[in-house]
Amino acid sequence: MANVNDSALFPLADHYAKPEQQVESGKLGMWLFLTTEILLFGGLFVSYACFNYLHMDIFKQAHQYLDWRLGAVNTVVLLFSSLTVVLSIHAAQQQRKAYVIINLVLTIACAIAFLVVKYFEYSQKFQAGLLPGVYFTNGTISNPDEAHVFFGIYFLMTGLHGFHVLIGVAIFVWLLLRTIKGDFSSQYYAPLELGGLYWHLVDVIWIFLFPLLYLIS
Amino acid sequence: MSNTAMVKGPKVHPHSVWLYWGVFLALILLTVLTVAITRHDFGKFNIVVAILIASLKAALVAGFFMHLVFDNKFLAVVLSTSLVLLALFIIFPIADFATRADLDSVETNFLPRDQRVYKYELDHPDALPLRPGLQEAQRDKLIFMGPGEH
Repeated sequence: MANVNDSALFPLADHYAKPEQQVESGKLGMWLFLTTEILLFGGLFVSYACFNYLHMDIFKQAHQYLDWRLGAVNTVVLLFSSLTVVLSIHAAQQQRKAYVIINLVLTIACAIAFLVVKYFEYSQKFQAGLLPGVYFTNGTISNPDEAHVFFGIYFLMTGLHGFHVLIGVAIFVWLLLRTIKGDFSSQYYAPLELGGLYWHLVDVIWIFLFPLLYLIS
Repeated sequence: MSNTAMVKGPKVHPHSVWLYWGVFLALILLTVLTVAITRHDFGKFNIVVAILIASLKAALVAGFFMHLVFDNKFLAVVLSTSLVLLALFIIFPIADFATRADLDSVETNFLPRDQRVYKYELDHPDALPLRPGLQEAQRDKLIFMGPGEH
């Protein structure tokens, strides 16, 4: 084990002076991207805040059409997938390739499970006519003229988030293939860390979406 | 694609795995707490409590899973710039909505005298015959109307 760690296993790009510089630059770039992601979702959070302030009664009533149990299940699924991501990095740091692969597979499985739950939620809303704008056809809600506002925000926020989860699946499949190929070592695992940062942000956004959409009354 | 050369990488000191499991456990407990609390009705404070707990969970994820606590503090500065901007984006429209009615009533109280007469006539159409042209002016929004009238 010791001689593995002492050998040269870090692919240093020729425009960097030191491996530390390369790793730090990658992290800084990823964090800059994450700030733009926060502002992208930020616009939707602003619209949520404004419409909730102006139409509290609508939000209070319409959120009851969401199943908080499914939302809670998806919260736990995403939190667990964040854990498996850090565990995969932890395993990479110790050169335990099998554990990296297991944790990445678990992450992908969680991401797909999240999307499957979301699919059932969406199809239930489609059937009930709980849709944005002119497509809102649900007759059981008491203020159909205004309730579509909530579902417009619901579908925009969870849709954009679900799209990010889908991208996350692609990223982790790519990371899994690179792990199997043997690209990563105890010295070089920066792509795992950067993919992990993206995934944690997707998790954090859901941490806010879950109470704001499913639990507010 | 740049050329790479294999060199000896930086020395890594992995954290204990129990740190990550502990953070995960805390996140699950906070999720259960959010659900338990919001099932009770705290009225207006529901949303405040929910956002506070969500912020605590986000801080745990960012601090430990995203390594902000251990990494170069400049990354935390980069993150806070977007959080400050996001706070401004949310605070200003809400402050606007929350204070709009007050501004309207202030303006109504300080209407010029002749407009107040016009307003009285509009509010009490039976009291006096409407001045010629007043309804047209109202339609064209030439006359300021108080809250709830426009």
